[in-house]
Amino acid sequence: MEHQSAVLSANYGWILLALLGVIWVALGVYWGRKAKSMEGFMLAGRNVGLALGAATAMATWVTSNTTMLAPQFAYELGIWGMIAYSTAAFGLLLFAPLAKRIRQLMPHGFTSGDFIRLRYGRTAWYVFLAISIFYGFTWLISMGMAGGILLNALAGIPYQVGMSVILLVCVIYTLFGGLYAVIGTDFIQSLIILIGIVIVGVGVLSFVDFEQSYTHLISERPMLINVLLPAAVMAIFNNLLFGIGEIFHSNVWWSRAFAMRQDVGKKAYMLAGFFWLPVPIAAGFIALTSGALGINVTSPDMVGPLVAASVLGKIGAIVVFIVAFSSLASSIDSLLAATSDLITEDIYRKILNPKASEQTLRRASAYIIIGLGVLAWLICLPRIGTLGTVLFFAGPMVGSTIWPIATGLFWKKASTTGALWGMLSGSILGLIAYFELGWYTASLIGAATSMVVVVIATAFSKSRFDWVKLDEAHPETTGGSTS
Amino acid sequence: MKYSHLTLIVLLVLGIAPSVAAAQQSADLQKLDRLPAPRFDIPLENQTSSGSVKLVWDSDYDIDTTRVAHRIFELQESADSLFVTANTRYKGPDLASYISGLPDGTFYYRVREIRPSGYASDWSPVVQVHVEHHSLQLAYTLFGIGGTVFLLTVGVVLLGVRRTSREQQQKQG
Repeated sequence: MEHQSAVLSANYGWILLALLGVIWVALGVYWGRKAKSMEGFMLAGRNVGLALGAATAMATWVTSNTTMLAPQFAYELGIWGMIAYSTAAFGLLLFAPLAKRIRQLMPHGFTSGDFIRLRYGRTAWYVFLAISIFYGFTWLISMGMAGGILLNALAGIPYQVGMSVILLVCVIYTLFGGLYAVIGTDFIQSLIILIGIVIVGVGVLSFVDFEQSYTHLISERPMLINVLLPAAVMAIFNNLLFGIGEIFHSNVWWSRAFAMRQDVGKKAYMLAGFFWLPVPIAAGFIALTSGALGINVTSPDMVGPLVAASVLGKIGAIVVFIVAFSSLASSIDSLLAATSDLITEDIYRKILNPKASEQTLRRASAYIIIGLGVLAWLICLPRIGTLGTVLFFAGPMVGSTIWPIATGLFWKKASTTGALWGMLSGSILGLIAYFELGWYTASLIGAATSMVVVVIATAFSKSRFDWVKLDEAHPETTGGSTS
Repeated sequence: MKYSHLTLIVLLVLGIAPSVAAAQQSADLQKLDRLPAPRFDIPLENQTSSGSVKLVWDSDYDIDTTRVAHRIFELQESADSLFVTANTRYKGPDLASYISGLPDGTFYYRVREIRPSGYASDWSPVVQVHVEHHSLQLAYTLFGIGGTVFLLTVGVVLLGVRRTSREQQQKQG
């Protein structure tokens, strides 16, 4: 066991954990009462406005990845790492016009899987589902792990216990409230995150001696301020493309695009992107001061919370605890909801039980949320790697979906062959890069390979897709069957 | 006379009892301070192309932690295997340290345990970390590829939006 000195007493940790857990579950159950139908449960009645839309997108993107992985990037890859992480904002900004397009083309759509199935056919759909569910799962695991790591680092609560409690709380309120609960809690969580980050940022800035930090970096970690650190140079576009791939393909973002009102999606995603952009720079910067402050880091994903809590003392540790718990919960709930929607709609209803009634679907959805939580918990129990290595393992697959999605939405000539082989070849070559070169190259190679394949296949394609085919009737919205 | 005997006994008890206790405490401390050297839980030779390495160590010394409140480990780094000039990278109770930002070269690490009384164990076996960053040529190539993919992706989205909105306007017009 790699003992790491805790900042808060375990008693404080338990009290905070219990308080936050009860609050989120209560709010989730309260908002969930609105979810009368399956469409309400999955898509919050397709009536989400600008404030809630922007808040849920921002809060979901400020995940453990931002509060914990951005500092890890800075700690391992230096200044470029910090900037590289903030480039993930381009994912939100570029998805803004896609959200509008998606809502126009698929007014009755439910999942990102619907789009791939209708646009490229069943074989590409199967590959896409495998990629998307695998990615959703690695993200869920990385956040369950982050919860355990965080509570352990801040309050000395055993990793397994902290991880279990966070997963349990999120499973309970997602189970009761669906997307209503997720979006409602996201709104409050996004406010907490923004206020908390400002408090931590101001506190750290007033405490840290810049000159001392710079001198320490020069003497002890010179490569972190070297603009030509090769791994960091490679990581810049890798992270950017990973972020774009995550948002372009994942049902977490598609379900929000379907849930927002017609003209809201584009503005909401743009706002969320601009609000999110400075967060990883603020979170990443503090990691670079850890050496000068004499803080030992046993695992790089703990550096952010450790520095903030150490510098700001007990109050700071409590703020960090609340912010990190909120950012984790806002992402875990979204992921549980979106992945269970994908499995319920695309696998259970479309493949296994096309004639399922609404009640049966609600029940199936509940079992799937619980199953996802239990499976994630089992995989999180042995701490299998750092957040970066776990999450970026899905990078090649995620990167390979960018071009099939983007061209599928705008190019009539984009073909099934290109999409299918783009995803397959991008995933395979990206995985080879992951093991041969490092995790900081895998998404980039996956995206580049997929792009080349999609472009070549499109050049030779004779198909002309009819956009009307994407407007599929759905039993939930039409009262009929689509099978 | 009787009084002086009693005084003598009292003086002896007062003098001997603390010295016996002191001797016991000293033996206890000596026992505590016979520290085996900690050992690294990673291979003795390591390579990295990112300039980061995680050093993990442990000690076989199993003690009652209520008697010895703090375990202190000292981790040293040196550019030479004999540690002629060494730099203390960490001193504290943790059992690991993640080092990042190392330049090209070979670095050596060793760790020892120090008791609050000042007694220190021997140094652990030395761990060697060889840092050889990826070539800049490879980094620039991947940077260029990544930049191209990104710009083309932006192009697909922006041109697509422009074309579809023009098509919509034509339909409405």
